[in-house]
Amino acid sequence: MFSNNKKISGRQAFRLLTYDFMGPGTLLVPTVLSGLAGRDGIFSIFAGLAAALLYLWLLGRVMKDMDVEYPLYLERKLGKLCGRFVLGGYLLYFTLLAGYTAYLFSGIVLKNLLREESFFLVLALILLLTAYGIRGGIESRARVYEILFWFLMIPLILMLLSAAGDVRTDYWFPVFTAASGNVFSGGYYVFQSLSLVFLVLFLKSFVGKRGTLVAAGRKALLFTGGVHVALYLVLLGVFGAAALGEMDFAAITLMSTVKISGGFIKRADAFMFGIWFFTLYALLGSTTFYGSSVLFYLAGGRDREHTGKQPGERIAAAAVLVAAAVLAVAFYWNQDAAGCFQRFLWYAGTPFLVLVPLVLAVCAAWKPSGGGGGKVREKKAEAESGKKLSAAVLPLLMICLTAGCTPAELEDRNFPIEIAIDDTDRFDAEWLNAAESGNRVIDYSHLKVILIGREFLTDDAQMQEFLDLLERKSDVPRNTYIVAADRAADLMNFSGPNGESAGEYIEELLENVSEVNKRAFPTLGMLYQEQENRVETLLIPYLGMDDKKPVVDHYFAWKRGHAAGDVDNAPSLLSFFTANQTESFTLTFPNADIRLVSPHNRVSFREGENREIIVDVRCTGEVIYEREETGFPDLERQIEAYMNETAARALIWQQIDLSGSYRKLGRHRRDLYRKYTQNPESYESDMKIVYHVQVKWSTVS
Amino acid sequence: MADKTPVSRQLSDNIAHMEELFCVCDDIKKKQMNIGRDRDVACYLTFIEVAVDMGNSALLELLKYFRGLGRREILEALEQNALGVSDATFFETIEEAGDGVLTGEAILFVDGFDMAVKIPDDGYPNMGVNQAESEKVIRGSNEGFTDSVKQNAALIRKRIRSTDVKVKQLKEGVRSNTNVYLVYMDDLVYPGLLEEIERRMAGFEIDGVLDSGVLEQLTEESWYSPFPQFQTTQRPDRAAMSVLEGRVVLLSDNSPVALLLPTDYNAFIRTSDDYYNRWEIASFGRLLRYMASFFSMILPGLYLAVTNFHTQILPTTLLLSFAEARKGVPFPAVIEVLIMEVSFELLREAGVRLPGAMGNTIGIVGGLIIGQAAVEASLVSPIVVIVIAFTALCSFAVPNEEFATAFRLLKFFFIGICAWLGFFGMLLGLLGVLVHLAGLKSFGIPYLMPFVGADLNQYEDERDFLWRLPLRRLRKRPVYTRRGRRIKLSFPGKGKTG
Repeated sequence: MFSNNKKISGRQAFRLLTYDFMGPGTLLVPTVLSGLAGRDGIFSIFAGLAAALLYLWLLGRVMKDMDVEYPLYLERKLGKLCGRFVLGGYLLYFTLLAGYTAYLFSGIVLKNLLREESFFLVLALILLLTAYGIRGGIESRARVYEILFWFLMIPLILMLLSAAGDVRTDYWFPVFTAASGNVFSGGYYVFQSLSLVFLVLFLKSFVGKRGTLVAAGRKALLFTGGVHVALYLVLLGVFGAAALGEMDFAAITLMSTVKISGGFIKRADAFMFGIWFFTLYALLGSTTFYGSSVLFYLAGGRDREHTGKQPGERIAAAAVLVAAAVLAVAFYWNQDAAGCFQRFLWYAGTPFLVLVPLVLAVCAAWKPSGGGGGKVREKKAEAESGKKLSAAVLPLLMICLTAGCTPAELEDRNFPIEIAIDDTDRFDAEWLNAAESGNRVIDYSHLKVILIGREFLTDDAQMQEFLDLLERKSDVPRNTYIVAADRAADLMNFSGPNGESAGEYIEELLENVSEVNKRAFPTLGMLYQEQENRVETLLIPYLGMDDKKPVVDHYFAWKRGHAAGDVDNAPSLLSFFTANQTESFTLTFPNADIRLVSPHNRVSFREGENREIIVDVRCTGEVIYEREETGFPDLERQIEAYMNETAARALIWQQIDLSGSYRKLGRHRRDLYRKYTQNPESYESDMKIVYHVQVKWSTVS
Repeated sequence: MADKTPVSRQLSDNIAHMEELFCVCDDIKKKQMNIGRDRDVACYLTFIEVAVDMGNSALLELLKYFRGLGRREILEALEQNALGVSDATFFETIEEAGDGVLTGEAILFVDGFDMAVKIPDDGYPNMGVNQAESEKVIRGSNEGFTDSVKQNAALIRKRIRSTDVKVKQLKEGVRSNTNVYLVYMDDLVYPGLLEEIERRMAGFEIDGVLDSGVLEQLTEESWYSPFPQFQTTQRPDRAAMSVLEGRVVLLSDNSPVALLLPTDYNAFIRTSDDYYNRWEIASFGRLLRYMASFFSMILPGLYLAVTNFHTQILPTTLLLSFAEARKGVPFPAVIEVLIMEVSFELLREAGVRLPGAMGNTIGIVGGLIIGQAAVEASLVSPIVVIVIAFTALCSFAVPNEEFATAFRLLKFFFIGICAWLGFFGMLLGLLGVLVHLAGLKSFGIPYLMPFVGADLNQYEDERDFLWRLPLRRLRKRPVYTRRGRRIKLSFPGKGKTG
């Protein structure tokens, strides 16, 4: 009655297409774009989106002339032989894409959710679920994505919003630095991910009006384009172009990096993984569904009604799924095969997708339609009894259940809260091999603090090895704080007044007691990123003991991926204040003690030949204690002098730029950016910092 | 008529046939009498003893009436249907007369008259109108359906006094001959729906239909699904509301449970008092119930996935207290959860089977004493007790028992798959359930309406799903109603909102 018409609405078509675009697109596009075009990747997205919209227009033209389902239309327009050849091309494309998607899907499940599980088991389960999904036909698939759409998009948007706080807009600049060829290559890559919009040709027979379908396609492209832009800006702003270009699945990594306010959920990456789970499943479902339709058609099914129940249709679906499974295993065993597939898409697949409708449009313009008529074959892919599938699945599940994961129980695990490292040998042998955990499994997911000994921290080679090791061991959280000490092991024995461990105490010290914003303290993820980006001067808290409690004694500078020496508290706090990362900054002068609050500071560069870093300090000031009467202008001059002197001392004597201006070069001075990207070592010695202070005085006590 | 026996003018023939039909039926009274002024008219009266009230009934009135008439006048009165009884029915065959006896009425044969007369009476004994046992509401009628199909139909008619309410009678059960009523609104029901129902009802033969549940299972399209595709209710107001939505109510004799069809997920979550309360409260309750349906299926599995696989999700202090709580428990977490779940299901089953007061007691005893004792004996950890209790609470918040049962069953599937594959398993399971639900239909209506296919009714149904807009905004009937008949609320002369 109501729902047996094998038709889907415009809204369902929009959501289906959006899901198809989003899966591999959001996972792979940012990394590839960043590698190709860096910060200019954003223009690649716009270019790719524009090309995809143009492509959709072309598809719309083709559909105007299409009064039968697409495979039949191809035969009518191109002749039987040529039409079947083109359909063979589509079959190859669908099958390869299904295989690659299955490989990618299984791969990220293993990487992010089930590290110990077998690839083959995960692949088998995914393909079985796909088989179950496509049995319901187009209506059932459309309903699944219609219902899931906002349930997944809202969390994605919320996640992007919560990550927005970690975005450093300086990382977006400079733009227009990449070679135009690379930007166009990036645009082509984006177009490649959006070229799946060609599926509208196959959807035409399921959606009543051409206009509705084209509008749905356009909406899906614009929506996905918007998500790409937002995601790219966030990822670029959080990780930086160089680090982003090296990441596997940056969007998922982002979810593990973001610190969630409220405290109930510590990390949301497992939950957020659901977004890609469903989008990749959607693409896998689409490719196998259309692939099996094409195969069924090629095998002579065009004269029969598509019911979804015919043995031929089942066999076609099974054949495509088996082929996808074989391809996925091939990609898994041979990484070069995945590279070959990427090259296939780049050089053959995407041009094929464009060329076919182009030829059809030209044919339609030059030659009258093949007579129209031709009864539209109604596809019936009705969901029916699952007993046969169940009969196949249940025994497999039984076998799998006996061979599945056997995770350790909670009480059989050790959750290190802090680890101390003073030398690499000890680190390798004792922590990562869990020798210290006795008979328990070691689970790093709640690691809060990594304490690094001075000797280790200043040894570049050891640090590099250490970071590489941890990055490979992906269960160590990226948002673990890094702190330094003379000997890290000495702090490990500390126990807080309420029985908390050293790690918990230090985390609370950094997050609750310090006036510095917690986002300013270096984390493991920041150190990873700096290995690639090399633009930041990170100030690592250096702990000492005071009254038998750990305190931040001073800071240790980590400049562009290398140890750069100790920095006293005062210049460090000035650095945080300059970067608006602390709420207040207290200064003591002979005539008064003052507190500067609510900073809105800005770092820029003087134009022209003078290589001056200009720091405009705008804040509110309070005089806490006045020893002798002083005018506000005089106080401002004193503050300015203090800041200039402190910054200059750090710059000259330690080669440390307290304003963190290096990463801003690209935004403000492209000439200097070019110069110092080539020769970063001379940056600090060539520059001069000038503070301009304007204080709005609030009270005088 | 070909293989049926016509009623004879010879009373002795009719008596012989009836005696043969009801031999060894001691519960059926068979009386030969002489009636009329001169007591010269032989007659034969047969009825089920407890179904006919001899003391104060139409039958007694009729016999009194015959006492003043002569033979010719009695036969004339019978010929002209002038018996002074409003609902006398005439049967031409012995078999029809036999069915009449079995429906609980008295059947009278008169010598010289070639038809049997059915004289209406109280019919079979039943429990009468009671409070509905399930689907309790805070506001609204508490009247519940009874075992009598006629009374149930009357309870619906009482609420919708319209000639457009039609009641179509079917007979189901080759041996039980159960009366089944289809109640619907003639001008609202979707064309083809009634035919489809009748087609499905005619699609099987069974010896007895003792409850509407039998019909439900035999006419469902996806019989393997744990999700019911017919909504059930014991509440006449709910049934009446469905009739007004263009749905069909199927009433089966001897069953206080009516079937409402077609249905969808949203219909199972709605309650009658959603429409009696203010929209904010109704929406809040609706959202709670949606969440409850989800958590009643997922929560124990989610607990296992998080504690066994993805501990990074939890705050450290919570995780450490979980780990602390599990110290000393001899079983893996999955066994611990299963022990508690099975115990809970046993308590529930025992509570249902035991007589009222004892049933209530066992719930409390089980919950408090067994739970606490299990924790103290370190059989389970306290957190698992909390998880299972919260899951139970969620399952109780789902208003429809059959629907809630589907989630309770799936809960075990999720426990298994999450214990095995963690969050990946949960996602696989959720997607599997979603794909299944997306393919499920109830008489052509997508089960996930109006989350999907809302365009079928111009997105009007989205005003009454996760939340319920103010009644003033619910101007159209849902998608079940025939097209062109969907306006249900208007404010003549008062603009759009009245």
